[in-house]
Amino acid sequence: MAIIVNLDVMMAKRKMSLNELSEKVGISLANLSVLKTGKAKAIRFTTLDAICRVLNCQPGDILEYGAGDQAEDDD
Amino acid sequence: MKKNTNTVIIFLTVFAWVAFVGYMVEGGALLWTYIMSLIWPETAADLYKGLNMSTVHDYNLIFYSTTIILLVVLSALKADIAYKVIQLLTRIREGSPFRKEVTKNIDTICNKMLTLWIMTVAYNLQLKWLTDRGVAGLENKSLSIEFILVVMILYVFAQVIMKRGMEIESENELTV
Repeated sequence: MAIIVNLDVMMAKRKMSLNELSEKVGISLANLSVLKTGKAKAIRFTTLDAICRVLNCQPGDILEYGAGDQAEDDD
Repeated sequence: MKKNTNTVIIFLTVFAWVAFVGYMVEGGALLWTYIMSLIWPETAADLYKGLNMSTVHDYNLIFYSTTIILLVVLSALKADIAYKVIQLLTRIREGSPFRKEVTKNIDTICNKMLTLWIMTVAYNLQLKWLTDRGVAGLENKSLSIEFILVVMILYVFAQVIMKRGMEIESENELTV
């Protein structure tokens, strides 16, 4: 999948740990870890809304489409 | 709704256990009375639950043995299927039904039911063959084979519905 999750970048910018984010967003550490490591297959809007609210950012700051990676995957 | 489902599953588990014990008793009793009939031939007239195979016994001992052993194997297979159903229901109660182990269990039940059907057809063919050779008293002893429809439905359920359910479940697990 060519969707890149930059959650760790935003967490570093806001100086927030995964534990803290998990508590504030209300999602388990395991699920956040799945998202952070790029293993998630889908994200709910409610989750994205909560993350953006807590990290004070836009969805585009968290999610990025890597067209170059998709091309490499196709090769 | 979940409480009702659990109650139904518990009831089915109990029913499956009763079926399992029943088939084991049937197989064991048939085997025992068969062994007894080898020593005392008159036993062949009243095997398990009044089963009368004395005409086959008088006709040919080998055919008599194969017929009874087929019946014992059929009972054993039914007991095995009942036990697999117990395992399946236990796994369903443990967690999500759309798991690899549950699908594998259903596949096993399908294969065993297909084997049961083939063996039942073989038994019925043998009875017909014996009847054609003039052995009396076998007209109403053939077994039902209509359960092949259940096997087919179960197979479609396992291959299509369960597999799709597993895909959706796996996607749900990776949805945050």
